[in-house]
Amino acid sequence: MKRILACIRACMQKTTVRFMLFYLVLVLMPAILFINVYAGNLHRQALREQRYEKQEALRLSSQYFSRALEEITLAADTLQSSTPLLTLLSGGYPSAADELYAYSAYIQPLFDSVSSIHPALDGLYLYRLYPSFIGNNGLVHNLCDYSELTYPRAAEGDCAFLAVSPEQYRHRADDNPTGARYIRLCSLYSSDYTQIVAVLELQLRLDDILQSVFPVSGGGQLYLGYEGTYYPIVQAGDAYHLDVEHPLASKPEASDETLLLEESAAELSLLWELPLIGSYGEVTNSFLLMVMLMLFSLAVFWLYILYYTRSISRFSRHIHATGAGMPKPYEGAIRRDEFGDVVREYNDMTRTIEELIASVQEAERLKNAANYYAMTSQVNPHFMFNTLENIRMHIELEKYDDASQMLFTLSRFLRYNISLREESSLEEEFEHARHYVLIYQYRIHHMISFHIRRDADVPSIRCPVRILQPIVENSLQHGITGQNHPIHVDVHAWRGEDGVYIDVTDDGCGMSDEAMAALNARMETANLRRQDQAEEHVGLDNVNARIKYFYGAAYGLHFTHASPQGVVCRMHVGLAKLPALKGGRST
Amino acid sequence: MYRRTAPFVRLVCLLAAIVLTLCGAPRAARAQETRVVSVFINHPWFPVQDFTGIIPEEITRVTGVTLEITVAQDMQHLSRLIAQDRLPDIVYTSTMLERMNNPALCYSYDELLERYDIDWDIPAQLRANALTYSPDGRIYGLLNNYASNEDWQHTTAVPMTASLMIRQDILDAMGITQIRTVDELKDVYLRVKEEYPHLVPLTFDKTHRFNFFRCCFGLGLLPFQEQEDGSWIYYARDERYLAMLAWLNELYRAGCMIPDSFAATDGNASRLYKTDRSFSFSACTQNTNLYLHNDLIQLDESYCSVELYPLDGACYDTQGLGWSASFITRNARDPETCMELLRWMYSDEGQHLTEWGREGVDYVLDENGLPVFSDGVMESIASDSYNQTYNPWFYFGTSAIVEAEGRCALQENQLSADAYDEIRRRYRILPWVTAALAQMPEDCRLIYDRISSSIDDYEAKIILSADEAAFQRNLNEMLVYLDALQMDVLEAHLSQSIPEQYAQYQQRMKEMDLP
Repeated sequence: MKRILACIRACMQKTTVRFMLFYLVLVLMPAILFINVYAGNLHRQALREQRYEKQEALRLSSQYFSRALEEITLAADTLQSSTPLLTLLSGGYPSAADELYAYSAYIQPLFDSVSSIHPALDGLYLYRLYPSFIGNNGLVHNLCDYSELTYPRAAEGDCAFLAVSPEQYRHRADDNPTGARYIRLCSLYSSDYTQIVAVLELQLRLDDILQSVFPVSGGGQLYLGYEGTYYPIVQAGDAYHLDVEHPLASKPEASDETLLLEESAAELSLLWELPLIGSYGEVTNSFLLMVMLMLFSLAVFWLYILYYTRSISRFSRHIHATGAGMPKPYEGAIRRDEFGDVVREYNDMTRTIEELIASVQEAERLKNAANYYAMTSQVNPHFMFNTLENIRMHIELEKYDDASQMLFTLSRFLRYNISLREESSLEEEFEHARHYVLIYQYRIHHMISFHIRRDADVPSIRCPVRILQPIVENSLQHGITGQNHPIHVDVHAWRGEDGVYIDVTDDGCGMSDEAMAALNARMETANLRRQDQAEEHVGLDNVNARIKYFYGAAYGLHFTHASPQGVVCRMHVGLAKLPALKGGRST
Repeated sequence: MYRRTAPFVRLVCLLAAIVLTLCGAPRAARAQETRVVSVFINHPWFPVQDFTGIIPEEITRVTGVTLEITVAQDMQHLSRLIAQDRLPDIVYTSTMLERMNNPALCYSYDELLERYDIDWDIPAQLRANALTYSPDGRIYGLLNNYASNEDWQHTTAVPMTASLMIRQDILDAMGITQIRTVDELKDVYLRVKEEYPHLVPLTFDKTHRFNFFRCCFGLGLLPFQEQEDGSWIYYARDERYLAMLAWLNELYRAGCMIPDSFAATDGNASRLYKTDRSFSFSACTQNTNLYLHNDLIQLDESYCSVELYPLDGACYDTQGLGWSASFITRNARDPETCMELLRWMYSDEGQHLTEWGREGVDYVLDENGLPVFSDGVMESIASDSYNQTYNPWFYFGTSAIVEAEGRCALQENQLSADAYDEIRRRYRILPWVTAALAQMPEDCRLIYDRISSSIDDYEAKIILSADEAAFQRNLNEMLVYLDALQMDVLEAHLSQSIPEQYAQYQQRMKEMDLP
C-alpha cells in the first residue's frame, strides 16, 4: 500500500497528471455536475409546462366539445316551444292544407333555424306518436313514425349515446353518411305538457366537431372515450375523423415515455396520449452521450498535454542528467513558445557560465604569468647585480647617504614587487613606479626627469597590482634608446566622467605611426585568452589584459604621439572593480 | 487575404441575389397578375360556395382574375347589403333587377366602357334587354341566359321550361303508347294508382310545381294571360287555371298526389320518383330526367324515365329577357378589371369555357358545332362529382343556347328527343310582358309582390281540398283575396302597358335591325 501511495504521490508530481487532475476537478466534474443538475431542472420544468399546457389545451377542447353537445339542448327547447309543431305532432290540424300551411310557414323554417344552431347538427328527426297529413312518405324527412324509432336506448327515455357507424344511426336511404355521431333522444310534450307527442332525435357529426376542436398542437395520439372504449382520432389530409375500425377496449396505459391526459365531455371523454418532452431514457442517453463527449475531450486534452509537456519532460531529464556537474546546453528541439525562451535562456546561461569559468581561469593564468614576469624581471640577476654594484660603489666613494637611500628604495621596491596581492591602489602604484625610476637612475646614471601629477581623489582608486611600473619601464627602455639628452617621464592622473585616465608621457624617440597604429590595434583586440603573445610588448599586453579583466573591455591602454616628440601611453581604468571578480580566489 | 476572399464573397453575394430574385420575382409577378374580384351571388340555392375546380382555375388562368364568392343566405341578403353599403365588386342576381339598375348603386356599362376604352361591342339584343330595366337609358346590368325565339329554331337543344318525367316502362307495361290530352293523362294516373299502389302517381318539385300542367291547360308560364278581348288578367283568375286546379284536386282526392310533395324541398322532392315510389315527377327540362333516369336504372335496368311529349294544345309561352344580370357596384375596387372580366364572360370563349370547360380537353365540337364531352366529364357526372371537380357554375355571361346545348350534350341517349323538338317548336318568349312587369308603378308592384308570395299557399290549399265543397270554398277564398288585393287595378294597368311595351319592343327591334 505504501508503495502504491508513493507511486501515486510520485505521479502527482508530474505536470501531465496535475493538468489532468486540474481538468477533472476544476472543469470536467463541475461541468458534468452543472449540466446534470441544470438539464434535470430544465427537463422537469419542461415536463411541468408540457403537462400544464397540454392539459389546458385538452380542457379547452373538451369544453368546446361539451358545449357542442349541450347546445343541441337548445334545439330541443326551441322545438318544444313551437306551438305549430306541437299542434302538428298532436294531430291538431283539421286538414292537410292547414297542416301544410303550418309546416311551410312555421315548421320548416323552424327546422332550418334549429339545424343552424350548430354546424355539426346534421340529423333532426321527430318520431310522432300521432298521425299527421304530411311526413308519411319520406319527402319531409324530419317527420317519422314512432315505430321507426329503433334505437335500443330509446327505452331509457331521454338519453344520449355514441353511434360509431351509419348502420347504428338513422339516415336517409339515398344519403351516404360517414363517421360517428353523437345521438341525443328527448321527448317533446304537448303544449299543455300532459302527454308526450314525439321523441326528438338530434344527431351531431363528431367529425365536424373534431375539425373545430383540432388540430391540437403537440403531436401524440388523441382518443375519444365512450363507455370504456377509446376510439383513436386520426388525421386524413387536413381532416380529422374518428377511427372506429381500431378502437381500444381499455384505456391506454401511461408509460415513462408518454403523458396521458383526459378530460370528460358529457358522456364522452377526450384522452390525449402524447410523448413526453424527452423521456427519462432519452435524458439518460443524452447525459451518457454528454459524458462520453467530455471523456473524449478529456482524452484529447490528455494527448495534447502529453504532447505539450513532452519537451518539458525531456528538458527536465536533461537537467537531472547533468546532476552536480557542469550544466550543458540542451540540444533537443526547442519550441517557439515561452518554454522555448526558457530553454534558450538556459542554453545562453550555460554558455555564459562556461565563458565566465574560462575567463576566470584565463585571469588566473594571466595573473600568474604577471607575477612570474614581475618576479623574473625583478630578480633579474643583472638588475640586482647592477643595483647592488652601484650601492657598493657609493659605499666605496663614501657616499653613504646615497647608498643608504638606494638600499631603502630597493628594499621598498622589492617588497611591493614580491607581494602576492591582487589589488592595490593608484597611490601605491605611483609610489612603486617612482621607486623603480629611482633605482633605474642609480643603475644607468642617466638623467631622468620623472614627475607625477594627480587629482586629489585619484590615489584611492583601486586597481590591479603592478600595472603602472611596466608602463613606466616601457617608456624608459624605449624612450631612452639612442638618446643622449635627459629624458622626461611625466605621469599625469586625472579623473574623467567614465573613469580615471593616467597619461604616461615620455619625450624619447617615439615611434612611427604604423608601429603606433599596430600597437593600438593590438591593445584594442587584446584579450585575456591571447595565446600568441610575442616577446615584444609582453608587459604591455599583460597590463592591458589585466585592466580589461579588472574593469571591463572598455578600459585598457592607448598610445598617442607626444608633442613635440615621444609617446603618450594613456591608461584608462575604472572607478570600481567588475562585480564578477569580487571575492575571487587568490592563488 | 482580402484579395483572395473578395472575389469569392462577391460571387456568393451575386448568386444569393440571383436566387432571391428568381424566388421573389415570379411570386411578385403572380401577385400582380392575379386580381381578386368579390362577387355576391343572389341565389341562395347556389350549389357551390367557392371559386374552385377545373373551370374556375382555367378562368383565372385566362383572365388573371379569381373570384371571392359570397352566396346569399336568403332572399333578403342583398337588401341588407345595400342597406349597409357593403356591396361587393359585382352582384349577380335574377331578382331586384329594378333596384340594382340604379346609378347610385352601380356603374353603368357605358360609363366604364368609355372610361377604360374597353373594346366590347355589346350585342344589340342584350343591350335592348338590359335597357328594359334601365331608369336612364344606360346599361347597368347585362342579363345572361337569353335566347330569342329564332335562336331556338336553330338548335337541337331544348330550352329550360316545364316538363313531366314519366315512367315509360310502366306506360309500356300498361300498353299506353301515347298521351295526348289531360283527360288521358288523368286516366293514366288513376290506372297507375290502381295497378301500382306502391307508386304515388304524381309528385313535383317546389320550384316548377304544376308548370307542366299550366302548359297543358294552355296557360303557358306567363303570370298574366291575354284574353280574347285583348285584356290581360292574372293567371290565377284565368278559367284555364281554375280548370287545372279542379283537375289536380280530383287527382288529389283520388289519391294520386300526397301533401308531402307540397312540403318537400327541391332537393328532396324527387326522392320518391328516383326510388321507384312515384310514377311521374313534374319538374323541368335540361337534364332533370337524365339524372332521375340514371338513378332509376341503378335500381332496375328495365326502368326508364322519359319526358312526356307535350299534350295537344300545350302552350309554352314564357316571359324572358334573360335570367341573371351582373352589376358592377360603386364599391368596386377595380371597375376596369370587373368590366374586362364580364366582357370576357360574354364572349364566345368565355361562354364556352364557363359552361362546357376546356375545349380539346373537356370537350370537342362536332360537325354541328355542338360540344362532345370527354369521358372524364361524363364519368364525373355519372359519379355526381361534376360540380365539385369542374364547377361549371360561373356562367355569368352564358346565353340560354350555350347552356342548353351543353346540357343536352350530356345525354348520351336522347330519350325525349321528340318531346324536345315539340317543346322547342311551341316555345315562345314574350319579352314585352317582362318589360311591362319590370316597369310597373309602385302600387301595382306591391299588389303583384303580395299575391306572388301567397298564391302558392292558396294553390296548395285548393288542390288539397278534401271534397268538392272545400274546393269551392278555398277557391272562392283565393278569388276574394285577389279581389281584395285590387288585382283588377294591376290587370288594368298591364292591359294597357303590355301592348305599349309590345309596340315599343317591336320598334326597338326594328331600330336595331333585329328580327
